[in-house]
Amino acid sequence: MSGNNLVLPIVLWGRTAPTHCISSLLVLDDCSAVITGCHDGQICLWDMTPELQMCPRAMLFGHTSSITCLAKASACADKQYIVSASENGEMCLWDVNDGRCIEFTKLACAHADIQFYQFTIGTQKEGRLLCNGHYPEILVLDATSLEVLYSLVSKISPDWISAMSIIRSHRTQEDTVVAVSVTGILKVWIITAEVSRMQDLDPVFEEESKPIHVQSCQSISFCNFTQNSLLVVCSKYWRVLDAADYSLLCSVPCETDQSWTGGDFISADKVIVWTEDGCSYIYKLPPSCLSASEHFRSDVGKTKEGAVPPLIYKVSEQPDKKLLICPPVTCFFFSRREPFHKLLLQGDSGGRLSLWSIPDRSPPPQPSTPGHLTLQESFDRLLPVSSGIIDQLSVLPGKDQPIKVTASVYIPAQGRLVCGREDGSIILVPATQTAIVQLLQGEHMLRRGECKESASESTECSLCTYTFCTFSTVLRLLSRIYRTVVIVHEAGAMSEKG
Amino acid sequence: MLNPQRSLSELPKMSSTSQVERAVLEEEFNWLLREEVHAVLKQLQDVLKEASRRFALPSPGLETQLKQENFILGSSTSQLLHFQFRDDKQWKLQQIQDARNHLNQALHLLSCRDETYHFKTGAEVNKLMDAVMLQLTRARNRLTTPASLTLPELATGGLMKMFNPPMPGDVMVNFYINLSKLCLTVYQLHVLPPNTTKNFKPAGSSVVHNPGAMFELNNNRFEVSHVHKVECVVPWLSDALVFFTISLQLCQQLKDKISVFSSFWNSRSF
Repeated sequence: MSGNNLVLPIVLWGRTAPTHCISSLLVLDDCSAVITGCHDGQICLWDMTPELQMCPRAMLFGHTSSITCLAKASACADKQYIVSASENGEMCLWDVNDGRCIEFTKLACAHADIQFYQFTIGTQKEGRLLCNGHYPEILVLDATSLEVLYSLVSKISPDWISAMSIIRSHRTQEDTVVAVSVTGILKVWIITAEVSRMQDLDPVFEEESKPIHVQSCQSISFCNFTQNSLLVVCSKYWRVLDAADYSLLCSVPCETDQSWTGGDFISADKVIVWTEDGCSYIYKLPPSCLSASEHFRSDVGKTKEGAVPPLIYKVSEQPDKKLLICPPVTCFFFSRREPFHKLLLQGDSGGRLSLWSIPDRSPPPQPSTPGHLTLQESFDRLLPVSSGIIDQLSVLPGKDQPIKVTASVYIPAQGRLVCGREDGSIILVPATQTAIVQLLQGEHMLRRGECKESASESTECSLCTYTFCTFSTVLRLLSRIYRTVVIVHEAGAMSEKG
Repeated sequence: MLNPQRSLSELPKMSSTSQVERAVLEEEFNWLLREEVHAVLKQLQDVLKEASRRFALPSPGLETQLKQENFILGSSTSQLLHFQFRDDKQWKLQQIQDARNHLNQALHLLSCRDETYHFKTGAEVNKLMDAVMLQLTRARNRLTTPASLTLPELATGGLMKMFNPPMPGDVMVNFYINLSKLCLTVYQLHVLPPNTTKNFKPAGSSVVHNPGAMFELNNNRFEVSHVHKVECVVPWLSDALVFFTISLQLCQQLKDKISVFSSFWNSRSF
């Protein structure tokens, strides 16, 4: 494993799936995959079939702290790139197809959200990443090099940006960024091609700055259906604003003692808003919010909070939901391609991904039953089971649980891996060979190993009797030093990939 | 791993004494989750609100410190430089804004878990504490570690445009917070002639640059000839730092209380 010039890290899991406390979610534009980031810094790629069946494909290693956000980083269909950012300022650009880390950078600041934006200079299309977080600007990065090009700066009351949204309006022919600062000031920047071409590190100042008096803003989204309104979700209320002059159309309080954590438009007249505990509510907007209605803007200027609009239905997790150690993450995804899926996704601290298809017409009182999948469930379903490095030595006759490995060390000089286990025994295995056996299937690949008794507990380690098992854990190691991808498993896809 | 939901009484082959002991532990742990955690969270919120007050409304006696506009700097040649902050522009110490925002984020995390919330596992409490501690550590670090800047970054930064009359070309200033002190550094520069025999080596990033540090800006080369430093203690910042330390201790103590039980009782998922 220790070559002259290249060190390839290898990760092997046994039948216990790694913990995956989901902190961020992303659905690819063509609905072919869902990407989850977790608090430990790993990213999981889940393939999704056209029938919306999910299956984890790969675990990406590139971050050393909690993933704060994921975003797409390319526009064309033949190049599926995503970008990830973590709490300590690391950013990685990944190729979703093979899990390669294409670019890596580390900034001094941590991003809370990233949005992809593509603009055209002549015939050339350029990708940009707009980032906001624990700093008072919106940073504009090149989507392929991850270099900071310039920033969108506030002249008036600069402060951290809580949420932002890119608006491509057919009406104004001008692309804008609408953002809300932590002090509740709505900011608007114009990001047309002229601005984008200017790359002399000059800051771009806001076009408009308007206090909208909101606290703890969680998200802001533009209604792509009507192009007339904005949804601002704050932890204790959500509001609809007129996209033209940002005047308040309606404000709806959070009825329970829960907090809203996000929301979006699901059609011209409906919004979905979700809470911290993972319930989502779909509301029909009042006529004062609908540009098609004669009552549009009829409530502008009225200060009191309006009545709660009719709740169409509520989406919540099954009652048997298991114990979560932190609030789940929810996102709504609207596919602009056939078959125009409207998906509600949720990832929780147990590594579980839940998916609901939100029906277009309201009649079905409940959306179709969600698909659930945890990493552990997909590990359990594997046949043959996923194998750890000394699994074949771990299961004792008459016991259903393997002996846990509690400590391990690799001795490069001898090429051996030493595993200490909870029963006091220590196992030595030739590391390279063991890894090779894991990587390549074949009866000829026999394995050597030895077990040294150190404690008095009796562990009958008969090395010659264990049978060789086949391994479905396929590791794809890439030559990027220390940024590797480990394919968790590819059920059935083995032969194709070779 | 055992089923986390499994009650302790179901654990097989347990002597009656250890069964009693475990029952007591379980009861004590439930009390911790039900009562003690909320008591600590309340205390934590009180301390942080007190800290937050320092950032929002400094007491009247400190106004002079915050609104001080006149800086009189005695230089080695006894000349006086007199500058005022412009009235038409705002300039904020980013360190203070960041610390305040991190503090508010910690408060927001706590406000979502008031006494009506029922903590079900120790792991949940630990996760919350980790999130709160991350924000508090960042808030504290923003005050304790001023930004390292290069001299060109300083020269082109917003602060240089903030003065009335405008700064002369051979003077640069930098304000920053170091712990509870507001620090002002003034650099006097001289232009290096193009035909100088001096070996030009641009200085890197630093909180304070020393005389002799060189940099290039707009095709001119400069060298720092003199550095003057002035600092004063901002009492409300020292209060805030104390509150950060107390809250971080409270968080850690709560985590320790949880871990006492986890070491007794590995089977339950914490």
